[in-house]
Amino acid sequence: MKTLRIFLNYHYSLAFPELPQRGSAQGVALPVKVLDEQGTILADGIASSRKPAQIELADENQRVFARLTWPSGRTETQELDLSGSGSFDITFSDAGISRNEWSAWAIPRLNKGTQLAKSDRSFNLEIGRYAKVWLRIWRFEGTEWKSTQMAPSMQYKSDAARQIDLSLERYPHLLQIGGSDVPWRFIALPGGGPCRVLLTPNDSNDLRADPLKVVVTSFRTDVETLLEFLARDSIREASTMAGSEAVAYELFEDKFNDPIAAVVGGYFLLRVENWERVPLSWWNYLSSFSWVPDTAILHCIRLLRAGITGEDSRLTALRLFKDCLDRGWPVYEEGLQLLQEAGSLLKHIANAADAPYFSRVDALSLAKTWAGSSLSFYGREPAKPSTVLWVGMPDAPRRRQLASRDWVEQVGQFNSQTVKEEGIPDVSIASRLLTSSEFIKEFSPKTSMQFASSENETFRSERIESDLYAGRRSVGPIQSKRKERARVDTKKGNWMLLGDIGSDNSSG
Amino acid sequence: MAGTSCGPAFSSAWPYDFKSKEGIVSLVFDSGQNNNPGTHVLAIGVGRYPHLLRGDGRLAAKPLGLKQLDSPPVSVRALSEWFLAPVTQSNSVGFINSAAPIATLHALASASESVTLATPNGPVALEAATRSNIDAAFASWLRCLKRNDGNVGVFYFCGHGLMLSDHYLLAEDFGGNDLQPWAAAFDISSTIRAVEREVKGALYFFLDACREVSQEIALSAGANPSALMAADLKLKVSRSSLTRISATGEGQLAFAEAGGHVSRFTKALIQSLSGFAGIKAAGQAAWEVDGETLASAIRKILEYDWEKTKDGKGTQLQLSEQIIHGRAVPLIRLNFSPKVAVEVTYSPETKRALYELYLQSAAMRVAQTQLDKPFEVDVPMGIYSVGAVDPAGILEADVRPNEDLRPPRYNVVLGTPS
Repeated sequence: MKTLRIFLNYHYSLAFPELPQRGSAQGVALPVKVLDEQGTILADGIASSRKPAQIELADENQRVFARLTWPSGRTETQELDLSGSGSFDITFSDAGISRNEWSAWAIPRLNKGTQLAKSDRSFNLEIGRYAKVWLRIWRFEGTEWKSTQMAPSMQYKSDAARQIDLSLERYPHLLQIGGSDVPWRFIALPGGGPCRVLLTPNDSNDLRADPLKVVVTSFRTDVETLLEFLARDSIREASTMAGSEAVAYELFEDKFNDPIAAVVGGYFLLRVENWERVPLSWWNYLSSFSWVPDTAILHCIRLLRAGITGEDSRLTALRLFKDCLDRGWPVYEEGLQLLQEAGSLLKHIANAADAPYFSRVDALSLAKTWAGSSLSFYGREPAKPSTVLWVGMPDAPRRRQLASRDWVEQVGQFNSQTVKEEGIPDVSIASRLLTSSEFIKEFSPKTSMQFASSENETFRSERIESDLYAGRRSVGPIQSKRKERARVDTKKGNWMLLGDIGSDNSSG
Repeated sequence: MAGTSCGPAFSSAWPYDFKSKEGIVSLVFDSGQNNNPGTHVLAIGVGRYPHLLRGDGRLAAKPLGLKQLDSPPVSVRALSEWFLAPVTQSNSVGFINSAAPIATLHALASASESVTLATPNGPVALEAATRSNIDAAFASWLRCLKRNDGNVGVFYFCGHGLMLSDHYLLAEDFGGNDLQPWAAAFDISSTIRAVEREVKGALYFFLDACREVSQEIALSAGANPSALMAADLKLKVSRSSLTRISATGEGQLAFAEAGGHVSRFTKALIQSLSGFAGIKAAGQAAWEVDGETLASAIRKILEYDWEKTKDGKGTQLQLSEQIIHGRAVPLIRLNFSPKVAVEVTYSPETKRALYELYLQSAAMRVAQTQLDKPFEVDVPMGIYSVGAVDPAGILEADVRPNEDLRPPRYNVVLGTPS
């Protein structure tokens, strides 16, 4: 046999704290595959900054290729001559991928050709034009979201990105960003420790993409890499990272020390449909971490996938579904998929009184947007995800898309009539009704009546195009000129401008 | 051929008189090998919507701005004939899976003119994709699928779709009943959640339909389309793998070239299945195309096609989206190396005709010498040297060793920094 050692020399890992300390933590780690000349996969493994991938190959292999894969899909392939016998080494390095060491950690998660990794950046990546974009942090305490003081422990700036380091307590957290041309959206942050957020202009060729890309880390590098692959449905790479489920098992086992990492282990086991690998009691213990809402929906789906065998398990599954939503929002996008799955199944066996929960899942599903493995959604208030795109400053929100007053009134009447005719509807209809009501509130006649008549005319002429569809279509900013009175917390000091990040020379 | 369909046994030989037997109007092919692992396909294309705009029936009270579609009948025929091709005519390009060969094909199509499929037993005219026909076809397909734990199920739909948190697909008779306007739509998301508790094999769902969020449906309490079957929550999720590939992302549109062409997504799907996707691990006999491999190939083809056509046409980018669960169970098993569609060009173009553009692997070398056009060629996947050299030996060469050419495409511009 021949031994091949594949090293990962990503020097940014030296300046990248790995928290919390897990015995099995691998630091910066990426999957590698060994191929022959025809592209047949001979072996795979994990190359990390702490330990090389060690791969045994049959003696007849004389020339092989090692392929390293980033979560973004970018690959790097190197040839290795295996003439002779013994062990052979190969190293993948990050030399030259970023001018700024502090932003290097995010590059493997950005678009394949991200210009952040290149020295000849284009004008399009200039972040200065987003200087007026604002950020604020929300925390879920008890039963409500409260905006909290923005107090980054470190700030970093370059011409292409801004970055902040935060220290978050054991609560669900959301980062909200918005601006005159940047729709308000929320990005979930993992609580209970340090958290780093990088913002950079989106260089996607998809015109529908959000203007700013937001990348989040809680310094669990190897675990987050696994989750990033999962979020992109790269199950093969995720499986390599999980070491044929052994890593997922270990993460789960260590749930009391690091429930966030255990959640990632749970997501992986559900994806590969090997949820029986860990005992049911572990899922139960995990769901007791109420500051990580994902834990409840993981346990709920574990029960649903196994089949609901009696009234007790039906009630438990329903309670866990509701617990997840009562605790805030899941931290990860994978959690939303599970909420959709649970909502779709449980609404057939729930009571009408539970309809608001199903309606909230509908709202979140409709408002979601892409931020890698992190949950992200559009909206003005953290508790109310919305397909209506809001823009403007925190104290002067305005809609980017509007609906006509007469149409909203017509639908409102239709819904009232449904309730009258059908009495108390079943949970499925009731949740749909609530979803409708939330839409109607956002398109409320009171505010609609304040539109300038010329805008109404403009809108009516576009009704076929924009009246039938909400949210995602790029119909251009048709905006109300009247600023609405803010219903959300706009306390000064609770938000900061992107342009101010790093302006005190804390880094750069 | 013995009459061993998935339903109660028929006494007559295949092809059956479908309308008189169990009402299975959609079963257009049955290999009769239903006790062995096989692939069972249900393909539905809805282009004719009589109750939607420009339809030939009474206009629905709320047509949602939806019109007639040219592409679905063409697309469903293209995909169905691709699945049947190897049994219709040997050595033709089509479905290959020695472990789960084509077992049954159910198909429905709604169009202004009859849609006819070429099958091993001659042409078969497809029945309309009304909700009741879809219900019957689905029940028959599911019965077939449940016959063997090693079966692979393929569900394909091309037509109108809308979404809320779940994805709803519209049958031909959508809007025909003003009292229950949504009765002829169905909830495919909930249907998938039901089917995955019923079968043990692998499931592939290809949904070539828009996923726009409709305010009409979001605001209407009565808009609550039913699933083709309700999930039995007492049952454990039993399928070995699930792949759902949607033609477009949530809240987005799917497209087809006007004039009755195969849709962008279906075209990419057929190309991916026809040798432009695959992966092989050491020791495996065949190159396998599973959900992950297929989804990646489709997405790359859609992206590449958009890149090629976006200038001047205002074409909107359509990117597919997928959900993959469980272990990888291949839909296709190729006994040859998958192909890569290569395009090599040189920049600046003014110098392109001075160069030889080539690809070289341990086994082969292909080249285009001194022509003023991109070098386009299909090659087996693998590791290649890709280069541009001046045959006269004067101009500077650009050679890129160890380029990892993977299906479906590889594009490079030489002469510029990599």
